[in-house]
This record gives sequence, structure tokens and C-alpha cells, in this order.
Amino acid sequence: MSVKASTSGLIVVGLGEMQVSADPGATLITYALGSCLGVAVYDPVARVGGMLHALLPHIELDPVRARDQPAMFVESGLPALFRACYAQGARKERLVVHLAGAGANTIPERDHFEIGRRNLLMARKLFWKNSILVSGQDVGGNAPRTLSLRMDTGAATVRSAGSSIQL
Amino acid sequence: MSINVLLIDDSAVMRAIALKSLQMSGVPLGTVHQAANGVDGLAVLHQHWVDLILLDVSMPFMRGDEMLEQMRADPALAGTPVVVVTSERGTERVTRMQELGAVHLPKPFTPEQLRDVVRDVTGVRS
Amino acid sequence: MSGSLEENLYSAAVFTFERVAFLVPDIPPDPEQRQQPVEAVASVEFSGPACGTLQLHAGNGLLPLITANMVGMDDPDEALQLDALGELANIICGQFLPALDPVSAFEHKPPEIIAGGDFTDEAFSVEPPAVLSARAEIGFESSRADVLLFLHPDARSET
Repeated sequence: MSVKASTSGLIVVGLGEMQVSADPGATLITYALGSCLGVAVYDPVARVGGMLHALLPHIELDPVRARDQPAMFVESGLPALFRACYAQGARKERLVVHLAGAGANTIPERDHFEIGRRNLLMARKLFWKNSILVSGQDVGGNAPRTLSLRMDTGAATVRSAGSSIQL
Repeated sequence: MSINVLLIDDSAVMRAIALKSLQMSGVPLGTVHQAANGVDGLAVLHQHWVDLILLDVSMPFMRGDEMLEQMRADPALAGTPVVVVTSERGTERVTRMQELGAVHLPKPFTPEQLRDVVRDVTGVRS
Repeated sequence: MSGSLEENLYSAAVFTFERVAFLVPDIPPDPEQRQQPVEAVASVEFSGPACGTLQLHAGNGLLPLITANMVGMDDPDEALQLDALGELANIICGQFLPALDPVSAFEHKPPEIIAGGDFTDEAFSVEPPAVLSARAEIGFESSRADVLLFLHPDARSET
């Protein structure tokens, strides 16, 4: 599951995907987080990290797709991300968690299903049930975001609307 | 170093939420006691070493503000740190409790918020 | 007050259910959700610049769901479920009351819980002179919750 970075050092996480890395020279990055939820996790001792770009909250929305592409859903993607990190030597109690995205559609009439809000709620519910704290987040609103995670330091950064913040 | 905590709330669910949040906080916990009202809370305090109290306000038999008044009047209990956890806002009794040195954590709180308050009040980190 | 009583009641209820019970509401409830009978009611009396009662009516099947989400564990017992309902009502009340008066402070009593009764509005209305002043109806998964606000027409309570 752990992949090597490209020559630029970037490992791109696409829509409905997740990636894990133990390469200190890499940066995990995912783009266009609108209503999608981006999750970055990092173990500073094992120096293992992962990133998830989930589109939808519940697996019941498409159980077949959830089986084949668990990262598409928050409900299946989050545990899969954590397990993949454990497989690379990460420990749950050391994982630092950051969230980004879960925004609303810029046109309210197109936000009928409030997917962003539901994605965030599913994540918070799973974190609570599984005793996981969130270290930082940049969620909501309606501007798309880019989330990156440096594997050498564990720094999680969100870029949006021309500005950049470290979570 | 671990801290002994007393959770005082008439709601068993709120005590369960507070306990789980404390366990998630990473702050080293010793014994966690529970009480459903101010009378039982004072009884625990007189019997056990408690380093921190999470205290609801609106409870039967003895409210949180009434209990805190009694605590602050008792030299043996006066210095115990107290966090007031309540959905009330700006009431006289919450204000009075803050004047008596309690920190206010509004309901509903996230586990991250509870962690931050406990760290600030006790000075104890993970 | 910004917005109507009903809008503020919905806002307080939605915020509380999302933040505390991790449930996204369906507003309005669909026909299947509406069909669920009420199985328990939590009632919170408040006083201050206005006096009244806020009631939270839980449809059949809602209690195990909210409780499991609130405490983060599966299969909570019945006592815990009723407690959870009371605490939700308590928090909704605390979220809503600033809409009645954002400056002054309200106090509320511990919630009272009634379960297993025959719940119709007529059977469980608050004693006069309080009147039903706003109602929020919300669907959650296959069940529902109704939030009812009763206000005394005489706004000022004795302090």
C-alpha cells in the first residue's frame, strides 16, 4: 500500500482514493476538496502517514462500490486508512489527525443533500466512537481546498482561495 | 503524575461522555469518581483525594452552585479546581461560580475542548 | 430576536442533534418517519425573561440510536436511553433560550422524563396558561423527534 513519491516528491491522492507513505522525502497531497472530506494522519515516531479523499459519508449509498473502493466513503475509508497506517508501523495512540474540506456547494440549490456536512458528521461520529481526537481542521464554507501532508515533519497544510494555513 | 477526577452531573449520559472525553484527552488519570448531585459530590470529596471536579449546575437535591459555595467555605476543599459544565449561559449562578474560581465549559463540548480545559486548569499534559 | 420562534427552535435542535448525537436531520420528516409513534418525552422548565417548557418527543426507535451515538457505545440500556433524551432536551433548551432574549439569563430545571405513555398533544400538553408557541418536526433515519415550545403569556418571572 505504501507508495514511493514521484521525482517531485509528491504523492497525489485522487478522488475516492487513499495513500500511505513511509518515505520521509514525500508529500501527500489531494486537490479539489469541496464537499469531499480530506483526512491526513501522521505518526511522528514511526514517520508513517496517510491521506484519504472521501466523497460520500455512508457505505449504504452504494454498498458494491464501497466494497471495491472503500476510500470513496468516509465510513469505510477512515478505518481502511488507519489500518493501512498500522500496517506500516504506525500506532493509533500516536496518530495525529487533521481534516479539511466538507464544504457546501456554492449554489445553495445544489447543496440539497448537504454532502459536506454529512461527511464531516460521519467522520466525527467515527472518531468519537473510536476515541480519536482531531488535532486541527479547516472545514465548511464553500471554497475548494488542497490538503498536503509532509512526511518528514508531519506538517499538514491547507490551501484555499489563495491563502495557506498550517493546521 | 496522574489526576483524580470527580464527575458531578445528574445525567449518567453526560458523566459517560465526560469520562470518555477524559480518557481520550491523554491526561494521565488516576481514580475517576462520579456523583449525581451536590450532596453526593461533597460526600465523595470528604472521603477521597480529588484533584479536579467537573460540575454540572442544575441538579436535584443540591445544585452545583450551592455545592461550590460550601466547598469554598471549607478550608479542606476550597482549593480544588472546578470546571462548570452546563448548558446555561450567563446566569447569576454560573457567574457566581466563576467568581468562586470555577472555569466554565459550555455544553455541548467536544473532547478536544475538554482536553484543553483540563490541561489549562491542572497544568498536566499527556 | 432574529428569525421566528420556530426557526430558532429548528436551529437549536439541529445544532444539538448534529453536535451531540451526530445525526443529520430530515426536515420535514418523510411519511414513514412521521408514522413513528412517540415513545418518550423529555420536558425542561425554564424561567427568566420568559417562562415556559421545552419538550422533546422521541419517536419509536430514536432512543437507542441517539444514545449509542452520544456515548460512543453499542446497545445502551433503557435507563441510559431515557437519560440521553433528557440531556438532549436540556442542551436544546440551552441553545434555544438566547433567541428569546440574547442579553438576559435563563435558568432551567433538570429534565423530567416520561416514557411508555399514550402521547398525544392533548394528553401531554403543559398546564395552562402556558401555550404551545412553536413546534419543530425533524426526521432521523427511520424515526423522528418533535421539539415543542410552551410559553407563559406573562413574560417576566419573579426573581
